[in-house]
Amino acid sequence: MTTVRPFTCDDMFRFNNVNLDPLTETLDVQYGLAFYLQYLSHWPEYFQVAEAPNGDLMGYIMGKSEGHGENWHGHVTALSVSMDYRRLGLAATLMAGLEAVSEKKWAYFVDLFVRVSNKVAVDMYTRLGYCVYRRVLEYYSGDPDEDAFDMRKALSRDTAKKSVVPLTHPVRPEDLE
Amino acid sequence: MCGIPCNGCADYLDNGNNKKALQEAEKLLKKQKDSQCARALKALALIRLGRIEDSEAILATIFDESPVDDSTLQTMTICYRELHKLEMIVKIYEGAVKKEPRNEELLSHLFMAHVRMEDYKSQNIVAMKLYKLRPKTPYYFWGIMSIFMQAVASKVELSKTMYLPLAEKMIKKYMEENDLEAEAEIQLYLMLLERMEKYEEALKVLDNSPLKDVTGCYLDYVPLRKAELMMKLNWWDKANRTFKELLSNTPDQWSYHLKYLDTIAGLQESGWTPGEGEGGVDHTYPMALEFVSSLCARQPTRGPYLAKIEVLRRMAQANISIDEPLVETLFTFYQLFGHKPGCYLDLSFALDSLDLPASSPVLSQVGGVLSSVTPPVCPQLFDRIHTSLQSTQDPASKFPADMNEMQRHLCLIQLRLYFGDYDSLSPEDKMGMVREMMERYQHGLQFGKDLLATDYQWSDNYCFLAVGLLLDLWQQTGSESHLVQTISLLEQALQHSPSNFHIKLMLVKLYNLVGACGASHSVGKTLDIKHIQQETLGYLFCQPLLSVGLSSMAGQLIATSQRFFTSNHKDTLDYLISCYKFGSFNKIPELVTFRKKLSNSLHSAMVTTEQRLHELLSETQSQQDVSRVLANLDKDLQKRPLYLEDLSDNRDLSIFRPWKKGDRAMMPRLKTKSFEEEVLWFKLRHLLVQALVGMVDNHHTGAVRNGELQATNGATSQLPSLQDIIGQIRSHLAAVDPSQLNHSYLPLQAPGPSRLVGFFRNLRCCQLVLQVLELGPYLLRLQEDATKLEEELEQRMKSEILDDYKGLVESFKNKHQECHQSLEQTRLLLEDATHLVETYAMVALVVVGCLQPLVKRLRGTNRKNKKKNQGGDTSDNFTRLCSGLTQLGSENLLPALRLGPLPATLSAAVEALQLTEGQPTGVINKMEASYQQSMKELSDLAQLKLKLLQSL
Repeated sequence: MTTVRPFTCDDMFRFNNVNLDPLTETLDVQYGLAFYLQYLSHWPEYFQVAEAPNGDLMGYIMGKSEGHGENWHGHVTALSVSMDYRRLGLAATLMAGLEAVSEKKWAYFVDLFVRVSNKVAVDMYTRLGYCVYRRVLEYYSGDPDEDAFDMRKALSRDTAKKSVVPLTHPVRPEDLE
Repeated sequence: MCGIPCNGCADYLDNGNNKKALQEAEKLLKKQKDSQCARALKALALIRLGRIEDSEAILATIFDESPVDDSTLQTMTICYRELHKLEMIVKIYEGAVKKEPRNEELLSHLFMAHVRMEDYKSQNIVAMKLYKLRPKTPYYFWGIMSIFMQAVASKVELSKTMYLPLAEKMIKKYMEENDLEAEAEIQLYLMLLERMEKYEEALKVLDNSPLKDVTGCYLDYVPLRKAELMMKLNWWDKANRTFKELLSNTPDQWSYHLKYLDTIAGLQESGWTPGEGEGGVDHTYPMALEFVSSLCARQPTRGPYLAKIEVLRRMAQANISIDEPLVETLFTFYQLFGHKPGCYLDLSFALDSLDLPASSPVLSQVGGVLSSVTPPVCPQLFDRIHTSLQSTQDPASKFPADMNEMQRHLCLIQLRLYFGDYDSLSPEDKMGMVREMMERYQHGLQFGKDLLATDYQWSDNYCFLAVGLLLDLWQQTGSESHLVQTISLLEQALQHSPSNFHIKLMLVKLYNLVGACGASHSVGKTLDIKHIQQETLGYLFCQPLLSVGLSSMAGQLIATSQRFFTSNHKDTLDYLISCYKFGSFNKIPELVTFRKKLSNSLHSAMVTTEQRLHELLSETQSQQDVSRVLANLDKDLQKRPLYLEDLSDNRDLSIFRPWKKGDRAMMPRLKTKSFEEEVLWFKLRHLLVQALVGMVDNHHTGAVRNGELQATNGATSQLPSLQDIIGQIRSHLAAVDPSQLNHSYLPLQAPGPSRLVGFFRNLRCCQLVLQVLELGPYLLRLQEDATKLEEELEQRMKSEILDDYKGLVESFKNKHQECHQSLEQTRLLLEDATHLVETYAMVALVVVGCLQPLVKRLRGTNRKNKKKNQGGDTSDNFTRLCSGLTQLGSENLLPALRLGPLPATLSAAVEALQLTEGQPTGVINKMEASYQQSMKELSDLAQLKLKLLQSL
């Protein structure tokens, strides 16, 4: 039982339930408030939150659409679900929403980056129909730096499924278009 | 164009290498000394190097030249932003536009400059100029949005009669010649119509516009918006049909269920019956029951089942007989979802909603013992669950066979605790429960042995149950060994579940409760509180640390908080501008409100005040320091006045989940009460800072720096006079009944007591400071006429202050001689010691910063006038005060700031409980370390002030 609705500024006052999770931290640490506001002001339709009947924020997804020509695609910037509301299929619901928006925007595919070590997440995205398009070397800085999988799922516009043919060689972050 | 390559310099600035940037800018200026862009870059580098005055001088010269070059203007914009002079951005672009009125780029920058000032009227004027210059639709809609914001910001009447109709007229005019095509335009039109309560027209827009095909809208946006409008129009039947459709597609969406049921309430109330061809409307609750049951049958998601419970609740409320007992539905829910961690949260919510009406006496009670109110269905449900657990569990084993079974068991125990089933257990039985929970916790760890360090242990909730029960036991028995044991359990759980923030937050609260705020600070650091969390969670650390004298740790937190508030002030404006650029109009009012909440933040005001106080007390070792700090703060107080009214409470309490229903019900009230108390505490602190700083302009500079006497208070400062401030403090004090303050740290999830409690316990400290402050104006009066001696005040200076302070130290010593016996008493001791030392520091500050210069001057006047009169007495009395204070500091205060170890009996009692695998002594050592650190910092501060006094 969940209400999925657009994320609002005020949600930032109470999304600690989701954001104190140590994995969520890595993405916003250097950007702070600006990071969220940037997405809210530019792609509000891509920023959705799931709320429990008791008012708890259960999780949120943020993303954007970008690229030219056949590279026009939806991108998942962050997806985070509170530990208390795991195993309810919430991530899948939020992903489906983002894919539907990208379909409406007539995008070719949806993509996302995930740590290669995050097996749980990689498996989940695989179940949702995503495949590894390429490996990005040392995408996540840290000690040591970690590689990312760039995972993709083709949308209906990409009838030939060209966007998801895996690259044979890994790429460097600076070579990402 | 800039004319010369400034990129190198800009790059250095981007990378934060400001020194290099400055050198680069100067190099550029050697080649081309008039380059505006290079000068602007130099100004920016100077700002970032802290050379504000130099920078402002350069900016002023460029400003006079009214630049039109884009790079120069943009660099100046950044400068003014960083200097918080947003109005200057408007002015430079106004100047530029005057020179080049047909420059679209400049005009659009001017528009953005007005956005920064939230000057909606000017925004509109510029937007329309832009549209006239280049008839682009977005400009036109910027103009309309600006009027809309004027309406939002103005009084209802004006908004209704003027702004909204004007905005509507503009859109209609546009629509006569064009179609509304872009999503942004349609959104704005809808916002406008809704605000004007023209719901039918809004519906038409949604029906006819191409919005349903417009890209970017989320999922059900159009049908949902339509259904909501229908509800506003009381078109319940139509709304009902739409929500049914929506639910058929997304049966898990809770908000749809609620609204669907609200339409039925509407239909019932209006006595609606279906006419011909009006099928498909569920207008009774039995119909709703059938509908949600059909959704339940489709797939097992939580939504329809919880909705079914909600339908049954509404039916019971409306006295409609139900074939299916409620307990069955609840039990089915448990059977389907009991193995998921969220089941307890859902069921407690559902059972809560079945509860008594909101006016139940429980809800109106704050503090005291609460009896939990259990919905009548609970015992039945719990029995059913219990039986089912027994039937599935292996009778030979005490423990669950797998994780799912464990979750099911957890769910039941959590519910029972929540609804008060264990409240009446005897202490022995409760202790038995605690042991069982911990055994189960240990056993459950095996189900999580493959988890990553970033995951939480599935069995952590057992530990929380034990914690809840132990805290009950502490309340019941008063034995602090339970408190230490609670902390030990949590510390142990943290080892197994190093990322679980619930554990950390509880530890923070508990360490604060026993005054070991240094330990809570260490735990807090692992939470990695950042950006807006400073605002929502910072309260857990700053005030508690300050309350026990740990100002160096608090200082670090305060500094990061302040950086957040400053950068956020800039960031939110930048994104307000983005909203216009990207046409995200509906986010604009939202962002404006958000900004306001952050600017009016109580936490922000509080940390600013504490920072000022810290500077006053801890950064003053010599007379020169005192003069410098006072002068700086005087400027600061005038430049950055704090909001005192409309303060906003942005603390996040939802992160804390009360274990008991009674506690949960009290939370909103406790939050409000705590906020009121925190506001008062802030005001008192702010006034105190003002009073301390007020000495400088009123007396200090007046008397010494300018060499001329200021006859009246406040003549050189815009701040209120000292007497005024003292009066305000006294009236605040008189208005509070200290016994009405919240003293309780429980429920642990509530905000807890404010520092006012400790303050009123030590009220004499504050009164003493006020009495010393009053000597300033008296000495000023004497300078006017040295014969006007006031016996009472002379006496005060000669002996009363000393006697009073000595009395405070003595009573502190007496009160706390035997206090090391208990943890809570230790917290009180540290709070009292903090007040004692702060008072000493404040008195020293007033003596050195205000009284000493005045007495010195008085002596000079007397000498000049050759009057060997009573003024000499004043001077003698002052000398006596100074030496007395020095003596008190070294002979009374410093020796009193010592703390013995906690009694061995405490650790013995803790170990006797034998609950943890680790040594509870580790926890006691942590507390001891924090206590000693508090005392050390307080002694250091006292020493510092002693030195200051000795420097006279």
